[in-house]
Amino acid sequence: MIESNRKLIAVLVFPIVALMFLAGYKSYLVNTGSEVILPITGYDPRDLLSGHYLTYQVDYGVEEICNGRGKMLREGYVCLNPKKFSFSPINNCQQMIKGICKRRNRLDAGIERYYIPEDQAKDLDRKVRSGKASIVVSVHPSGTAQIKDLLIDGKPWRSSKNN
Amino acid sequence: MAHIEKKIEEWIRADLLSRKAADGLLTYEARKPAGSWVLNGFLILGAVTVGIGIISLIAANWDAIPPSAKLTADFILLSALAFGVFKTHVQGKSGYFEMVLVAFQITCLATIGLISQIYNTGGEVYQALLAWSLITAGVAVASKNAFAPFLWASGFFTALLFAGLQTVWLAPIFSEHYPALVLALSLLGGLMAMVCRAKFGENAQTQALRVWSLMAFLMSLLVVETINAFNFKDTGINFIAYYPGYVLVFLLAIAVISNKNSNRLQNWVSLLALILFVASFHYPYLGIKSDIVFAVSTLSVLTLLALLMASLRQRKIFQVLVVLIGIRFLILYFQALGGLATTGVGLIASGALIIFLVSWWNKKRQAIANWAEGLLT
Repeated sequence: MIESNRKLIAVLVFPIVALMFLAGYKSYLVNTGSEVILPITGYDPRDLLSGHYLTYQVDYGVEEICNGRGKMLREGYVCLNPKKFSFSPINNCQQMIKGICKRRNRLDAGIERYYIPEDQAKDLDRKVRSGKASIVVSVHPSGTAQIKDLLIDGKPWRSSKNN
Repeated sequence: MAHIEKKIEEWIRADLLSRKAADGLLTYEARKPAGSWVLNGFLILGAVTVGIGIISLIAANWDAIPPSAKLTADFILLSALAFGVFKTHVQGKSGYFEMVLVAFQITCLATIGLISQIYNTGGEVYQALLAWSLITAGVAVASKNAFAPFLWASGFFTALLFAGLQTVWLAPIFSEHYPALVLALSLLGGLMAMVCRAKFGENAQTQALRVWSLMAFLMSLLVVETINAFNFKDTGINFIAYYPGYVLVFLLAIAVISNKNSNRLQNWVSLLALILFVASFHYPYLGIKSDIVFAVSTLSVLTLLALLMASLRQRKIFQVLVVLIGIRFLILYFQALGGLATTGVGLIASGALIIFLVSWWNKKRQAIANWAEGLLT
């Protein structure tokens, strides 16, 4: 229980400032990283549409991702240029994405989910299944990746939604 | 009011209270704001409903609204709620203060959801809950009612549980030894409740943490009994997984011993309950695989906790624990009888036993509570 007005103001302002910082940090990641387009595929046809977001697997164009991790969760690194996978940070890599190996051939880099409007969920689900879908990702030198857009047949999904 | 009027009449008849004092009490009670817990309950329910509505609106993801407008609207709402909390605090409107505080708490969580949606972050739910509980810990402390701290504790401990099972560095330790995680979290809840009581007294936060940790203790007992009885996979004891639990039990024991609000007998009962509780996680490793031992151990922990709660005048918690003791006792009865319990005679005996126990409890509830309350004092 807080009786002092100053302390009450501090505990109320702190979450607002922290949330503003979080939003600002995400915005910074989206706008300052180097851009890359990666194709996506539905790895589980039953689970492609989960609520109001699409879930998919990113095709990094690298073979043998997350193999030999055992039963443990481990950090994994994909280098996009040159194409390579490793369980430790890769030196001399121009674009590297960091993630967690949860199972064989599956790296979770926090870019496997795309939020979609409720009324267009089914239409987008059908397009991702049938067309060539890809995501535009902003990649930072630290390996943090952030989604910028979803492309259907190479075009932003918003411009292709009436087709 | 009707309840207190009845009581006052009873006390006057028993010559415990004068008519003048009774009139004074009734006048005082009549001047107090009516039905405060019902009013507060409905106000908080309203706030929770509004909060869920905000989350649903965000989940619907209005594509027509640009992300910057969504975020601006959200932060304006959050700031307005924060102002509402401050205003009701200054005006001393405790019911409305709690309502706006809970709405603010839930809107903070909704904002994390909105940021995830706008920037398409692929994080896990536990990460959102952990972030939320870290930034709103102060909000839970500001509350004068147990609901906001209880909501916070639920988010915080749920986040810790899933963090233990899903983070890269904790999952290798706990994924195959999750009882160790359950043990550590229930002990952490107990320790937080003890520290809160020692530092701030019997306030809303202490009550919320006590109820939460008691629920965690009971859930842990259920988990460990189920694992011991049905599903124990002997992976060998992993002391690294149990280290947090051992450290916490040590700290909790120190907190119990140095507790100035309880007497020596209450402290010994607490320590004994604690030792039996921790031991129940280790029976399979000690080669004990008897259902009867598991049941006796659980019944002992529950009985010790019930006696402790009674001596602390926590009558509602005491009654819940007694009901749980009754349920566990019945399960033990079925376990001991085995197939015999499902025969005609067995079912008649079981039914009669349930009727007898419930009737006896109903008749003697008050007397048992009074007896238990005086036992450790």
